Amino acid sequence: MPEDCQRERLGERLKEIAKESLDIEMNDVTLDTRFDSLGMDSLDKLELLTAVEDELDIRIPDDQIQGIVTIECLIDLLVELQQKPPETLARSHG
Amino acid sequence: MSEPADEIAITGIGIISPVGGDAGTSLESILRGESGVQLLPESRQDKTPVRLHAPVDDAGLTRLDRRERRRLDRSVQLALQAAREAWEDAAHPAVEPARLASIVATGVGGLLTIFAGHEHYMSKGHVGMPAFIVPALMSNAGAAVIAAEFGAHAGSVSLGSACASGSDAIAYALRLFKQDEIDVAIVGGSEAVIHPVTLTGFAALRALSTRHEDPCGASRPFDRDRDGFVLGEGAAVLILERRRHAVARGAHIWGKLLGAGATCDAGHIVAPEPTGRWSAEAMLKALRAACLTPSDITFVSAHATGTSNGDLAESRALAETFGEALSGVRVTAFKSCIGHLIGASGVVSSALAVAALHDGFIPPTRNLENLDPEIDLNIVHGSAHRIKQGAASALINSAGFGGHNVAVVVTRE
Repeated sequence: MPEDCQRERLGERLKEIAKESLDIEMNDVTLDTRFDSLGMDSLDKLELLTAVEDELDIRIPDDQIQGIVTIECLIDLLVELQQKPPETLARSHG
Repeated sequence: MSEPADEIAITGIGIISPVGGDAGTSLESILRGESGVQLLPESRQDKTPVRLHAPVDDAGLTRLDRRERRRLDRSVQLALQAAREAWEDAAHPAVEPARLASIVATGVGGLLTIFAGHEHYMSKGHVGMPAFIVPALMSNAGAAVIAAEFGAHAGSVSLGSACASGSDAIAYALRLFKQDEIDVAIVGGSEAVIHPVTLTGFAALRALSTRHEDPCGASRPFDRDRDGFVLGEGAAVLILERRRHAVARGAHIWGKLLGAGATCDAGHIVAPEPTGRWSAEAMLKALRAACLTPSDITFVSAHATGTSNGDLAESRALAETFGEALSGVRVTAFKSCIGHLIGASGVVSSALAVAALHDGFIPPTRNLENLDPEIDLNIVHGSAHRIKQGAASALINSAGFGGHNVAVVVTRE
């Protein structure tokens, strides 16, 4: 799949996750909308990232969290993480 | 005695209770002697030996948005709902943030969140554990959320003394005023712990009524046939303000907070000291702080949970406190209508007492059909009692597991 398409689909999926986990309307949200402009605080962001980890079975490193300020930032990180070997990505479910 | 300008005025009241989603509705219901006690929903009845509770109707949570309902423990939702009502009732006092404090007490705190978090962990482990779990369950969450809402930079405090928590919050606020640390205080009490574990736990103490065939008749303080309390939930918030501050901005004044007193039985962890000795001392301390004598009190809002030992001990404490003036003091028991709101009960009772004094009526005690022959109190029952014009004061008595005794004295403006 072309990368643009993949990113677009990922973006839509992330907006759905945000709507479900945070109950925030995402219709007018673009990829570069800042989370804080949606009234999200740091706890909301953690909620979103936890839901993304759960949905995509991936672990977002703690030191990357602060830099995630838009959906586009999150897409960039997820694409980067998905290119890494599987054993470094999946979270422990124990 | 305080100079009039330094007196503490009550300028805002907010209540969410089993008989009303706001202060006005709650007071009207109490004045009519209506009951908020119900059977548990059928789906929950088989999980606990006691099937009675006094819940808040969720339709009353009109001042919260969806995010707050999702992220806050129920006890904090109730506190925030009451705080927003009280602040609006006080006409949004303008106060220097460094002179505004938030003091919101709860007996237990975010118990429902703790249970929800435990259920999540047992079914899913750490996966998807909400990030807001810890800030939601901590017992100071109510005080902190309300401090953030109104910019209370003078301090944010949560007190825990079981069923006396709310009254202790009022007493704490008084000290801050006396120490000249604040000009306005948001003082509240909140509790939401209706859950099979708490119902079962209180039932194991034989503390709860099992009058399942007559839910509205189950909470019957001082009655010969009382068999325990009904667990309820709710919150109340008072806006307290230096009188000069309130007068300068033309605020409506519901009444005045004159004094508070506290002691500890320092004995059995749940049973009250049977003679009521230390409860009496708390009430006498409150009267001294208020510069009033027992005969100055128009009515007592008794703690009166409806337990056999508790009501008896309190009646002895009232006898010791009021002495010869006892027959002239009317007594009422709000828990007969709304059940026991645990940590919220002291502030809910104080709020109802102030509003009742303001409106000129003493609410009736519901379900008093046969006064316990060992109890000799002048209890208002059947219908509300009209208060004569002129000066009128109320003493609100509270007691809590752990031997806590706290009394608060209020007067009408």
